[in-house]
Amino acid sequence: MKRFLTLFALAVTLTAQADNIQVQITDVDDSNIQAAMEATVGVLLDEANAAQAAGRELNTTEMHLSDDVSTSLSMLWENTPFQCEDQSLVLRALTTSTGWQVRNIPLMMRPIGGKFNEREYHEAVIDFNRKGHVESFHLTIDQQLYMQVIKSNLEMTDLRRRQLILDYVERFRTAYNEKNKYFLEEIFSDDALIITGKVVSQRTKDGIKLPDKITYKKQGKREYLNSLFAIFDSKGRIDVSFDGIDVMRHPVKTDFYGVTLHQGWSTYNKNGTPGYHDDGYVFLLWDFRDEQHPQIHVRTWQPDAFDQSGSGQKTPIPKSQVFSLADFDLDDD
Amino acid sequence: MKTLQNVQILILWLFSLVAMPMMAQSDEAKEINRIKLSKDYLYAEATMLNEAEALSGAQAILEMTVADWMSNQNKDGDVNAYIINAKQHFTPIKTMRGQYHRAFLYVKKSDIISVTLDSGTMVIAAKNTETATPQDGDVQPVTSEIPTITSVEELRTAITLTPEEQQLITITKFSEVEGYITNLEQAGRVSGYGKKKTMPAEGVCHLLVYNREGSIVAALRREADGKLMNLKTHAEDNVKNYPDCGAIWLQFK
Repeated sequence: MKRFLTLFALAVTLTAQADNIQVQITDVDDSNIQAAMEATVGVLLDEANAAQAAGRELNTTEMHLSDDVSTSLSMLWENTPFQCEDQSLVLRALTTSTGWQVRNIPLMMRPIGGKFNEREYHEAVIDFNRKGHVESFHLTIDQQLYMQVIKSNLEMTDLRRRQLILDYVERFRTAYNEKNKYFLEEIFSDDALIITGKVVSQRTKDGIKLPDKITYKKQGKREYLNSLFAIFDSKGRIDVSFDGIDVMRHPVKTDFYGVTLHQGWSTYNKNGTPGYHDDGYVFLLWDFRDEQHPQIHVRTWQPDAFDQSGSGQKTPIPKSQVFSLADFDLDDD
Repeated sequence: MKTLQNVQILILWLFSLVAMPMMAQSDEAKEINRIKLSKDYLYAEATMLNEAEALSGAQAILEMTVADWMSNQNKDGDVNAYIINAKQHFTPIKTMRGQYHRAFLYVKKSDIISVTLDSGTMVIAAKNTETATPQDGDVQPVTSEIPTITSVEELRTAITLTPEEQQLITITKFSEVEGYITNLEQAGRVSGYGKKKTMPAEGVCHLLVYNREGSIVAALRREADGKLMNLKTHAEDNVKNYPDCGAIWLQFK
């Protein structure tokens, strides 16, 4: 019996030997840099798994990350702690203008001590510079939305460009959740146009309900960000989610893309109680002329439904009324 | 003693229940990693809650990967035909990640073989099937014609279309406009283009009208007298007939 139990314990140990994730990265021409990249990804994922198991914060000190990346990773961990369940990963490095990009890193979002309310599976993307140091770590957009765009043959034939746009859409979303003021300052162009719809409820003097009206407010970048940052400071948590996406490429200015998203916006007070919530359509006009530093020139928000008949019942906003690329003219400069 | 044996059997059975699926999945993961490490394959994968969605997602990505690879290889011919051929060789490996289905799809680069003939007929290398292997042992190509895009309307042309206009009416998507204009520019056949707002007030001009879904809904020619002709229906038309649509104008030299 003793021998049997020893053998059994050994078998269980071998089966469960999952401490270190084996990472192999292909398509890097320098073996030293390749080894450094593999080690970084391995250490990061091992630490994520260890931190998950211990229910503690992520310790990034052993990862030799820049302050920016370390802060970004910590913010991400605070919102969506993750772990990697794969024991062995082979990842392809894509050459970029500044180094390499490694995609498809499989992660499970596992909040410590609670059930995560979004889809559990996500993939991470790590950008490395030419020395093999991490430049950025971020999650890709939800797989359902990703496939929605990948499967649509609307505007883009280039897989890389599609991935890039979707990556930035996701980084834009998480910037709100992480209250990342720096990212939002960088991503909006200085002359950005912000249009925000507001549903105005109308009644006659006799109290008879009339159809709701949407009024639109135009703002500049500074005005919009000042209001947004005030919300960041006054609220405990912000949860922005996207559950629908439509991407359109400009027919002539082909580095410009219109992205329409169905957005859920929720804020929570500092004591954790739910605050405000709305659902609506967000349209973003992206400029990818500089792929490393894309910019948003237009952001609009409209409610997704309102009382259009005066009956008190909300009905979806007609698609023809949702802002799209066709609603904006681009100057030649 | 018999009770002890029963306990041992029970523990082994429980162990096999847990360990065997892990080992089986590990073999599939190993095969995936082997393919990923080889330079002989193109691959794509998707991990989703629904197995069919994961498979179709992986297929969509692999098709684009094949198209990218083809353009980097500078192969002549219709990329779509290569993709159609490649799809016959897509091989799936299915595994699980927790509750999620992981679909891994791969194709051997050497299986994406095709030759384009001048006639526009695509010769696709056959799979190793009985019908494709003739008795003399030579590899016999299977031919499949790539259909020429010919609109029904074109066959009953009432107004004469120039070669540029004949091509113009084949455009069905917003995304095709860029390539069309670029080709015209390279050939020195276009003198200007832009959004409808900037359309010249006079002269013969062409308009491509598109809807919010990115589909081209009309190709129009504005005659010198200002009349708009629909190049597909050959009837007089008006941009007001296309509410909620945008338009691109262009002028040929």
